[in-house]
Formats: sequence, structure tokens, C-alpha cells
Amino acid sequence: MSDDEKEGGFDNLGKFAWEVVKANRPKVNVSADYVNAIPKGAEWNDLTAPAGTNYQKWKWLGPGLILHDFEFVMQLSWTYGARYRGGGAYITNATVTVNDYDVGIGGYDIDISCRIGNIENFGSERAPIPAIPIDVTLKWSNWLSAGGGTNRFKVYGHGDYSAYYDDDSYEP
Amino acid sequence: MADEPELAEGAESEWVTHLQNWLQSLGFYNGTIDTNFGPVTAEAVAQAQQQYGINENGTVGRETWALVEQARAVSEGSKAQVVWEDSQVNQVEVPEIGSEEATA
Repeated sequence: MSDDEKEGGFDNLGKFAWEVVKANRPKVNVSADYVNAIPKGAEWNDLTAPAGTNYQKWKWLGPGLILHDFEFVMQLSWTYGARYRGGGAYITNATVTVNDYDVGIGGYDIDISCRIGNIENFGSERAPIPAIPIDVTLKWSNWLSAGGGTNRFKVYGHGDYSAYYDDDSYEP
Repeated sequence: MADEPELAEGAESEWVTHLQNWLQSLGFYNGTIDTNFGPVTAEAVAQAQQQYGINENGTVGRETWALVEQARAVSEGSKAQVVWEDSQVNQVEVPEIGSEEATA
């Protein structure tokens, strides 16, 4: 076993940062960017096919208790369970997509962006399970106000995930 | 957006009560809260539409409803909401690296 494998090191061969909407003129970039976590130094050929694709969908509703000024239907998907030399469980792809959206009146500027945190080993040295933190942040502003929030995900190589909405994370 | 009716002076409904409450919270309306869209309400609507650049000419339509609702929501500290929808979360067992080679 190499030092990288002992450390549970992972490579991320993807990139993951984009803007979705600006100034009420949506430029939706669907599935264009991605992240992955495979054994450090490994080639794609060293991995088996993933076991499957999991997903979590959510709807982002703009301010307004009755009328919502905008709405985004989002999805995080991740392929899990790829094996390396018969073991471990690696993520070969994770993407955030905008499945649908509706930006009403209100003169909003809306940004949706993604950030990847440090990939950690949730498993053991001999059975690594990468855990990828993925923050998806929505920011909105118009002449009257501004706000936002972040969905904080962590997806795991064996298929599991965690998620919570941090609505105190907004920074202008 | 929704079922809010178009309102004009002379209208009478519970939607007028909502409208008056919102206009009052925005500081445009100091009259009685009731169900009647009278001249005081009409004046308040006109002031709000003028201030916020809405060209509905005293009629309360989609733009005005959206504006007063938005302002009210912000004044109450409303934030963007997340509604979690469906998910698929299958999982696999995780063998040790080399285990298949060892058994092969």
C-alpha cells in the first residue's frame, strides 16, 4: 500500500464553481462542473464503475411568506461506490444542477455558487471512504433588501450524505 | 404567485383588509382597517405605487401585491427558504483494498 493510500489521500480532478443567474437574466450552467474523489495518484482505469447515483433535490424559495419572488429547483447528485483494487468506495462525480427556476418581478440579482471543502477520509486506511463537503450558496439582492443562505452537504463514497440549511451564513 | 384579486376603489372583501394591514405597516395608511376599499385606501395605494414606481394607476394588481408582500416579508425578517424534496440514498458495503485480489 502506498503512502497516499495509507493516508487515505484523494485526488479531485473536477472543478466546482459557477454562477447561475445574474441580474434576472438567467445563465444556467447545468452539469457543466463537477467534483470527484478518487485515490491519490490513481488512473480512471484503476477504478471499477460506480455502484450507482444518489441525489437530493430541494427547492429554494425567495423571500415572501405568501408570494415568493423567485424559486429554484436544485439537485445534488453523486456517483458512489467505485472500488480501487477491490476496496474502498470512491466518488467519481458530483454535480449540482438547476432543474427549474422562476424569477419573478422585483429586480433581483441572484447568485448561486458552489464551494468544495477539504476532502476527508471517513473510512479506514484500508477501506477509504472519501467525504466531500459541498456548500451551495444562494445570494439575492434588490433595491429593498439582500439576503441569502447556504445548503451544507457532505457526500460520502459509500453513498450516504448529510445536509442542512444554514440561513445565518449570509455575508453581503 | 397566486390568487390575489385585482382590486380598485369600491371593492369590498377580506383582501382589502390584508391590503390595508400591509399599507399600514409600510406607513402609507392610517385609516380604519376594514373590508372597504375607500378613498383613504385608494390614496395610500397611490402613494405606495408612486414611491415604488408601479404603474398600475391605483388598481392593486400583481405588481402591487408582490411589492407589499415583499416589503412586509422583509420587515418581518423573512429569509429565503429551503424545501427539501425527494432523494435517493443507496449505500454499499466497503471492503478493504486488496480484498478481491487476496480472494482471487
